[in-house]
Amino acid sequence: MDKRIYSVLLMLITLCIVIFSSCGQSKSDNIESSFMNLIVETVKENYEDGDISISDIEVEEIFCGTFSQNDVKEILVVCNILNQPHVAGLDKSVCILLAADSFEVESYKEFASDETVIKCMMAEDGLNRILVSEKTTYQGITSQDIQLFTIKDKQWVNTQIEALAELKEENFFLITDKSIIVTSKSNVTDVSDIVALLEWNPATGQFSWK
Amino acid sequence: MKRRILALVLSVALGSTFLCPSISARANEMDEVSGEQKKSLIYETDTITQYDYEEGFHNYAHPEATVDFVSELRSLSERELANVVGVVKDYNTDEMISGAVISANGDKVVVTGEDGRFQIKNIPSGTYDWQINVNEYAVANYNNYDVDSADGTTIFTFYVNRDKEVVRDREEIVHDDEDGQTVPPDTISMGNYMISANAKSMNSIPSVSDTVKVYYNDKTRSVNREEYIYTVLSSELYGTSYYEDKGLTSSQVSQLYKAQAIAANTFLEYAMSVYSNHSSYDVCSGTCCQVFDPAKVTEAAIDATADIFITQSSGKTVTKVVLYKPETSKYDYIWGAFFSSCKGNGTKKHSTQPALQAVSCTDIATGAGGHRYGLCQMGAAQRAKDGKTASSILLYYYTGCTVENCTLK
Repeated sequence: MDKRIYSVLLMLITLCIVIFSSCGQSKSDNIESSFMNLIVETVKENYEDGDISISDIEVEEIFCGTFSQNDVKEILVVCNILNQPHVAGLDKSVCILLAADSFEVESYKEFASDETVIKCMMAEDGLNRILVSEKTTYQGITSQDIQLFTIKDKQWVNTQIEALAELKEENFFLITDKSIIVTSKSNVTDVSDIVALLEWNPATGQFSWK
Repeated sequence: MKRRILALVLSVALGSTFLCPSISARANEMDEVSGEQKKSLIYETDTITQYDYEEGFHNYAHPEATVDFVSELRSLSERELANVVGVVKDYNTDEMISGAVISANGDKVVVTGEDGRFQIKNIPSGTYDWQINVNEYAVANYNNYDVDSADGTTIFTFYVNRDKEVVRDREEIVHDDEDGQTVPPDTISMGNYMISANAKSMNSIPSVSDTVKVYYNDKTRSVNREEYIYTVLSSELYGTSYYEDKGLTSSQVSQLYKAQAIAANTFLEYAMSVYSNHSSYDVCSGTCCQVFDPAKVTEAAIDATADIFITQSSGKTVTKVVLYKPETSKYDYIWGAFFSSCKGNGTKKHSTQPALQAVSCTDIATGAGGHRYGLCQMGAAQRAKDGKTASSILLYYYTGCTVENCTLK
């Protein structure tokens, strides 16, 4: 008798586990699916180069934090746009800023280059700054732009990196989580290629000389 | 199986927009090329013959190696459905492979015929991951390769290797330099290699080679010059629908394509005759030189290239190249530099290339930037929209130059 009760209890427990786990999975899948749909639809609606196929949109990175308003949780989604010709930038990226609680789209921005790197830097004012490096090569000659953005009133505002303004020559940049290494060549082969090191200063929300 | 394929292609179709007018009209080229030429390919390849081109690739493969989705997709318009043809080749021997199974996004679609060719008619425009399976060969994957009816027929060349898997991603072409797949790293690190190369002055218009040695996918391959140019054109510019969405007519797109084809031909000639960064081949296939991905070419690119490779009534074959003209009856090669967009800053004056002066420029849209020497591709698109011909576009960006017919040797 005891054995029968135990086996029935065991079956019930197993059944509950299966039901609860599958329910959780289904909810999670639904959230993920609707989130992806939102991202894809946002890119399709805003894409500056006209029509885009769903299969060409790939989520590359997701940053969580505060970007445009203090104490408001937001999500920055970086998508890679696939299947682009060289003229469009072979590593084209789209950034979408969403409110974390409602998934409402707050801001949209595109970056086009052959090699795009996007990093978020937290400042002491509680807001993230967004550092974007765009590197493009034609006929073996590489050019690179680096920009620091804040997001204000849903607009991406390019904040000049003051320390870089002091450098007159055309330079290249390697980006780490908290610093910019300024180099004289696009491919660094020797220490002498390093021109300067700039470090992120959370107090000022700027990069400063090391 | 066919239902699954239909579901696959429909799912792609539903994710795409198909308002891309077909490029069928050819521009009136009388100002650019004399009336003596005939519209034809100068060189046939085993992938693209004159017959294929003239017939619009309608009956490219044997019937048993052809699949047609039109009856299943009759709800879609002609403009939404693309024609895809191609071949499967042995990576080492270039031999055509029969019996190769072509899959798109995981579903088997067609098998190559005894001549190695296949054809997929009326497939919805969109991006596909292509996989090729052949007995005794490793699988080959060509990911993120799109087809667009606006570009006419899309022509694929898929390589399979007995020894190792072939993996090509349209997204990874630019990064070939990093993984050593296409561009040897030592060539990339040299950077501004063109700066010190001096031009060579000539008393007459030079003849040019009809064969190009190009380093692609770990191998040096000899391709005919015409094939090289239409392949570069297919990789460097947007498809025609992009420009038509920006308001260009099909004949204006044709002028833009032709300008880019001549610029690519001019860069190639500089690399072959004046200075190349490479010692054992003329050009590589990455951004070190010009992007060259033979896996996919488009009929629109072939059309534009056919306009700059001309058979004259005398039987002589010529191709158009930009030359610098410092004095009467003197010619110099120029570095046919081009880049994506100047972002409102105009082009830059080059320190040693007199043809590359600073000129103002308006981009039709923001592109990927670049070094700002020579032809601005987004600016060229705006000039084409303004009604400029290919020659006019080129001579705006290349100062003191002339577009000449160079005999192919």
